[in-house]
Amino acid sequence: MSLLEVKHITKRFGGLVAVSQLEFDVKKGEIIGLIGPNGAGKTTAFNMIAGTMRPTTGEIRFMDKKISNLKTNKIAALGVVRTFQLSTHFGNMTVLENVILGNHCRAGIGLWASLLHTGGARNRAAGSREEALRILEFMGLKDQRNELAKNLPHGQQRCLEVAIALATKPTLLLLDEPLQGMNHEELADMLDRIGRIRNGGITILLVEHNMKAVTSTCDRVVVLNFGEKIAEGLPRDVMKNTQVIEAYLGVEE
Amino acid sequence: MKYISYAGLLLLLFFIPFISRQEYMIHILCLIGINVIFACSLNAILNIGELNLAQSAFMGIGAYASTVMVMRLHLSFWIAMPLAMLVTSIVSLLIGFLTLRFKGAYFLLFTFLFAELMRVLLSNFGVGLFGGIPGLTNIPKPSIHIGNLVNVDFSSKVAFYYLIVSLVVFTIIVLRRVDKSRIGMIFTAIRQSDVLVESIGISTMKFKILGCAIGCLFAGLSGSLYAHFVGIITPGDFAIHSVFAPIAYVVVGGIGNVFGPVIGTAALMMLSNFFLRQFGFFELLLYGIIIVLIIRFMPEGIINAPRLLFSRMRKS
Amino acid sequence: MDATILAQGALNGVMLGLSYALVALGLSLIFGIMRIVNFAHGEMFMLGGYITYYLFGVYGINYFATLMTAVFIIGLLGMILEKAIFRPLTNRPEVALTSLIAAVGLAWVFQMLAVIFFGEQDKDIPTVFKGIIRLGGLMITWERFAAILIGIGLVLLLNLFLLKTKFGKAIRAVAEDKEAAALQGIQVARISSLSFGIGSGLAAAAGAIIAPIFIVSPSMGGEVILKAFLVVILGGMGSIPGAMLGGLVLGFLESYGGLFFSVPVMSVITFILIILILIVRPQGLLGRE
Repeated sequence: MSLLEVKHITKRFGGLVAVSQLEFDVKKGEIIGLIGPNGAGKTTAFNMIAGTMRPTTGEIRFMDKKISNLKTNKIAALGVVRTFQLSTHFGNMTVLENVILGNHCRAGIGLWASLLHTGGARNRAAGSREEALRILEFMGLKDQRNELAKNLPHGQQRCLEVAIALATKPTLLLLDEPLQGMNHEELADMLDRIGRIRNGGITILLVEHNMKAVTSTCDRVVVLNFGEKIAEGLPRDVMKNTQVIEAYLGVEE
Repeated sequence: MKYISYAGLLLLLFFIPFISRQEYMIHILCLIGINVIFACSLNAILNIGELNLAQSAFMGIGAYASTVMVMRLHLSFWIAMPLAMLVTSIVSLLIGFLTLRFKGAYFLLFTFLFAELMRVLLSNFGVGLFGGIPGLTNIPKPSIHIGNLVNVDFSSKVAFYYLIVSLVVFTIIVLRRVDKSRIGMIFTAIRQSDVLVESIGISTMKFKILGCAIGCLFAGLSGSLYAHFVGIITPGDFAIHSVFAPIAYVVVGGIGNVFGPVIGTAALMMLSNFFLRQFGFFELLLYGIIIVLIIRFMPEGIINAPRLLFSRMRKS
Repeated sequence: MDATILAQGALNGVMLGLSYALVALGLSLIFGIMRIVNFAHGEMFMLGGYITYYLFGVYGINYFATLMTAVFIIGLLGMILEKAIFRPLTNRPEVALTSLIAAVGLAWVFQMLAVIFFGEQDKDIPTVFKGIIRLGGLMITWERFAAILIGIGLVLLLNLFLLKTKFGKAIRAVAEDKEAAALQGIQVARISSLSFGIGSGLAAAAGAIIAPIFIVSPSMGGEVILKAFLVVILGGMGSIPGAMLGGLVLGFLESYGGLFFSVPVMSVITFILIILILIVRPQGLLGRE
């Protein structure tokens, strides 16, 4: 059984059809790439899986449970967590606080317990803190843990955003252009980490423009153009597909 | 270290009525105290990233609830006050449930409408109970009678002073506890990116409603105190324009930290009373200008300035 | 009910609706580009009214020249506000809250300044277009008819600008996707400035149109921002036909509703109606998701 099933989803905005009858599966432990030229509908599809938008028709199932009609926070609690294309973090809080917050939904700290500062709440908070430090170490941000998030350079902010998502202990991690704005070194680091995240047992679906990265990292690739799926399969096979090449003609990597 | 300064401050506040027998000074301090509680309630809502123009209207709900309970239902002030707080909080839960689901600007609009609605309702409906446009007068002062031993009469401002100071301390303690808890952390996070909070599995709606309920609890408290201290309340007292000065107090002091509104209120009210009063109408203009300038140039407020200055210094 | 009263009421509704739509369009334009809700927008309307009072009403300058001057001055004011206050705020966290506070503060400042400089008293402006049109048995005043024509003209102008001109297309591109527009070489900062200016100018124009028909007062800004919001709620943010429809619905409600209900009752009805609409259709009657 697949972890995520995208079943014939369509998204209409008034007269415009952004995504049409999209269908694909994601199996546990895979790294799937969702690619296509600008305006192909990747972001819309991504948003529908993450719960930011609802499909006009069709449904999305996660672990055989329908999620396409659920709110974002419910979907995240179930284990499908996304990052954002544009810088999204808690700017005026420290890096460590950012990641601790990511862990909140798993920490099990009750509201009253937190208010009354009970022993149980304090223990769980300490546990969250340790988990957050572990994740920061993994993402290479441990030294920056007391920095305000807004003061980090761009590449590190992107790492922070992935760290926050990791803190939620996701089953399926949705990465929205994780490599955007990174230099070669940061890019290589991030790709390495993505691989290690998958090896740790987390399934990954990513949207990316960087073709080299996609070919080297993804197990399978789904190609969209004008809202429709035009190809699916191993990266090197898909890259040779004439339709795919045509779709990308004239688009610089 | 800081506990010593807190203790010292409390001691100072305790002794003020002995040092200065001036009725006027005590009166001002009482009003400042009531406004501090109100500013703290406003801050609690700004803390979750929402601007509630109806905050004064909620203070009004507390004021009217408390007054009606004492004058019409003949309850003791000591029961009416907490009940008024509860009533205000419950109303805010209802309104919050209906309106917090919308984006910040729409929520602002709803608070605007709600404030107007409250004023209209209190002016025109239930005149027998609420007194209509002229409002309610001769609101009884609280009193404490325990047999023949304790007989505290609140017609003297000094008794009120101690009551208000204690309640200010209570407000600060409770809100500080919330600030420092996980709940406070989530409130701050929502203020910075509610989208991100949702995507990490937390229901922003739930926390926004909670924040509103907590804030309005104290708005109700300030309303009840105001009604019994001043003795007269009218619907016009709690209309929208009365929320602007408190917004200035909170913005100047600093949003988010409970001490921000305390400092901002104390500082601006003192300034107003001993300096700005003479400018009459210009004072209101000044509050607006202060709000814009501070939010543009020093949005963290006085209380957070040291922390950010420190961080900027470390960066360079 | 007299046919003339009904006809006049309808015309009133259209005229009010158009002016609210103009203000709402300005608000939408600013929001679409900067993602900021300019609560001080109503004050641009108010200032447009006062400029009309002084230039046309007091100094007798040609009405159309006055209208254009008002649009220009307030447009400029809008651009200054954008550069000095709002744009710096967009580069910081918590922009949603700080921009709201700044806008509310600004609205307050403008209202107070208006009271200080113009006085609290309502001011009357002489009628611009005198006379009555007779259609069959109905009598309609020229001033309302002319106001409608001018309003429609402005909306058409805005439409043309957005669809055909280089700047208009750039504005639409930025509203759609800021990052993509920047990548295509559009200078987003200039577009932000321009949209704030145009948006404010639209509000000022609405003020200049309405002012001679009703009165000018410092509080007219606060009243109209509410109406503009309601138009946006009804018609959806960012849609020109939506704003027109929302404006018309609101205009008619106000025009005819005012005949039957007292002001307090209208407030209650409005509040409940808006909540119901938003619960059923959060995107407004015509808005996109």
